[in-house]
Amino acid sequence: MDEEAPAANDSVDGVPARRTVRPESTEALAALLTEGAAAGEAVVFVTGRSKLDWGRPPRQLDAVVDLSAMERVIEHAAGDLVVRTSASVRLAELNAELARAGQRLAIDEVVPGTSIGGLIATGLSGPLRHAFGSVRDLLLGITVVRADGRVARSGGRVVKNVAGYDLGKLFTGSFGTLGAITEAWFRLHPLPAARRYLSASWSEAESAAATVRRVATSTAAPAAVELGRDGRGPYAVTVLLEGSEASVAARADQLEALTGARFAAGAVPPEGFGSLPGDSTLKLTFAPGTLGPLLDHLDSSLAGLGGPGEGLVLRGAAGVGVLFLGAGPEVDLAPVLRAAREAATAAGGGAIVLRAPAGRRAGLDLYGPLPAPALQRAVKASFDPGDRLAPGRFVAA
Amino acid sequence: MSTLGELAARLRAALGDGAVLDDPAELRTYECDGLSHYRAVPGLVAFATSADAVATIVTACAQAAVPFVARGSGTGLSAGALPSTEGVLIVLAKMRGLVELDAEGQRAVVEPGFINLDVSRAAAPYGLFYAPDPSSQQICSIGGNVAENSGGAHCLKHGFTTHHVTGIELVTPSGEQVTLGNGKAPDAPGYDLLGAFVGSEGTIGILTQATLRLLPRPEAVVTLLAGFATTDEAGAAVSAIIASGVLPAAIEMMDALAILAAETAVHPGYPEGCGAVLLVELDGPGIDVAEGLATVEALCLANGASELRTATSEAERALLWKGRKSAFAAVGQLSPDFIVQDGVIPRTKLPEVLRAIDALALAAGIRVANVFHAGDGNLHPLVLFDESVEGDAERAEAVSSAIVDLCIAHGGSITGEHGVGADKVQFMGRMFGEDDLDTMQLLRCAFDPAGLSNPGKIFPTPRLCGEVPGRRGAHPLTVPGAVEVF
Repeated sequence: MDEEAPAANDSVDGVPARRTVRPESTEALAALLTEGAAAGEAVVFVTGRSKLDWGRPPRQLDAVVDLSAMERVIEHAAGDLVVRTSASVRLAELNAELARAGQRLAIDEVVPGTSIGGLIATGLSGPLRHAFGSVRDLLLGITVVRADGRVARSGGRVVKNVAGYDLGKLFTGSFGTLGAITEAWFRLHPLPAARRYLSASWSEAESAAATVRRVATSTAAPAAVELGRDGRGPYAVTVLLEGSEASVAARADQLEALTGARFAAGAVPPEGFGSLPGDSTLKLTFAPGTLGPLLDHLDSSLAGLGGPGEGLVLRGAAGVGVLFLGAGPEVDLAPVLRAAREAATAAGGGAIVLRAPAGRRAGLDLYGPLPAPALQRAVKASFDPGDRLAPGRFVAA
Repeated sequence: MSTLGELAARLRAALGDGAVLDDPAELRTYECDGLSHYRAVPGLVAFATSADAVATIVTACAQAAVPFVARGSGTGLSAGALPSTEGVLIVLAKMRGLVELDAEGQRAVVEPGFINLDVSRAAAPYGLFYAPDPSSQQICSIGGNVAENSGGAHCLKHGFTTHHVTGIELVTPSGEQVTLGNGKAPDAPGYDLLGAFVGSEGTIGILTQATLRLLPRPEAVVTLLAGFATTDEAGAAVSAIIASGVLPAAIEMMDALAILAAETAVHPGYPEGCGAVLLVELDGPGIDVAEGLATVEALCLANGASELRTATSEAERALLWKGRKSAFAAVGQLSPDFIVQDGVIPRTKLPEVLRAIDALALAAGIRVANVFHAGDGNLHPLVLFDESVEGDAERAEAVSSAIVDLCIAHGGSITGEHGVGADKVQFMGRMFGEDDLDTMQLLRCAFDPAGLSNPGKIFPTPRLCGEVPGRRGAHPLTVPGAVEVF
């Protein structure tokens, strides 16, 4: 194990660490956690370090456990359309390797530099979730190291498997508070021969929302249906079609006939497609059928809250009920969060603060009401009885 | 009065006389689910007609420390709803309401006893359907589907139950009514307890309502039937189709014995003299289906298919599916008894595993018919035997068990869709290590520390909750030579 001296500036979300450790194998990580359990040491796992301004600062931090030096494994079973990958591999790197066999892990790299470990720990999915589902839906099996250092697996390498509990789903989006994710098996998809991005915009929320719903319930099988709005500007809808050249052309025509829209078509994504807006980003979820009323609600309740400059930017997988709301540095987050949460709650979902610079998150209720809070806490206590894994960093932890 | 007697009196007072059965003859009706060689007469049967009633029953059980088991339609094939003789069987079949159909938002909200096929029927007028389609979909309930994370022939493309449930309401093992997920919206904050609940086989609570995702019905559907001389050729065709980048909705295979059974029973008119038949169904935009069909036909021919038939109308497609859908029942005409096995292998291993199954069957003097979901490597070998012949049942059981070991040895799973239930408990320690099983049970301890919810299912050794990990001796089943899945 390569243990470094306390790095001058190593910290998590403003909380300084006493030391940073870089285990190079699952065994080393397990030994480290076993020792840490005996010493009651609080740890935060990091890999790509691309999302350290997410969640809450840890209540206590003794060691940053940096998993980026762990053995790099990519075992691509192309014939089975599955891959085994270690947490330290970066998503972009994995997809570059899979692409050589004409395949992909159909998850967007929403935050550049995202590692597989961070991808699973945050469960962050982008536009492709419309057709392929989110991280949890493509995860087949997982290896984790528990708080007490024991190594455990659930699921497996086959695409169909109901043996035992699906701990992969529990760990997806758990922000390193239940254990360290070291390895995963994913289901893969073929790369399409062609992609076509269809874009159109409307000044009326109702027209844009109606277009999203018509496309989402159409038989054109879109890979993504995104909606965006910059400040008080028009509502832009972008539909991604994937398939053969002939297929994407035919389905584009079909969608124009169905929606009455005149789409601008291109082979490359429009600016900002699939990226998180703002330096602070809220995530809104909603019942997909309520998109129109939600947009109207947001239009009125966010009016005047964007301030000058970049203001507020709305963007996300509107077809399945997700919108990110980005705010520039000049925006006061508290009233924006209040308005967004009220609107999203009325639309059957909710709003959380996904990320924000440290000083701007303080004092905010980042997550809002939590379903089954007693069970959430019981799960945390069961997996991490000493409350040592990223204590306080996640909503239920 | 006995504990169960007091419980019966309490439940009658709360829910009415008709809600409780304790007559021994009546109780016997509920002694098994779809896997009928596992039998246990429940201590009591309680019928729930609402979430409140479920909570009342579970609370009473929790307070009396009496185990309980939930049952929907009773069609499960792993004895997952096998009652506890000392406990209460909670029957949810009367909770079969459609709470809401939100066509605009592609959601259906249903009670646990709602029948799977009825979801698609209710959604059909809006051009929508519910994707998971287990073979028993005409009678199985959504509550059971959620418990088992049910799949079906078309889950190759469209996914399993877990991909199609956005929110649930449940009664926890302590009797509390809680919501998991976000209703019709995705991504509830906090841990994905919804994802953990789906497929937990009734061991961490009882579903009282589910919100399901509906998909647009595809523009085009085509079914292709291809006859091959051998399962090797058909298996190679499956691998070639998967590798080509075409993603069919379903790829099903039948071997010679299954074909014979189907021909004898329902005369589907499959190509004569075939050693294997593949059924490939493609759905999606018309142009994609046409392109995919051309690729699949070419790959079948390149891998030795002797005859291809395609069907696009619903009636023609039903004819091609008839043999496949009736295969299990048809095997009943070839043999007085059979075991339905359910295991999974990486799909590229199909030919070698099918040959190994043949060898096992030959060596044991037992016939095995193979009818299965080839596209995702989910085998359903039907192991034939005759109960009246001495030793036959034991030989069949040994072959069936050896097939599961074959799946584990090839990196697969002991169950693809039927669940572990009571039936496969003894295989869990062969697929997973002690630490794996212990870790899964950390989840159970959070929901059900007293271990009252469907005890004896999934796990060979119950974990004592609150126990200090690592201090207890290893269970003999879970240690020596444990085969791990990775």
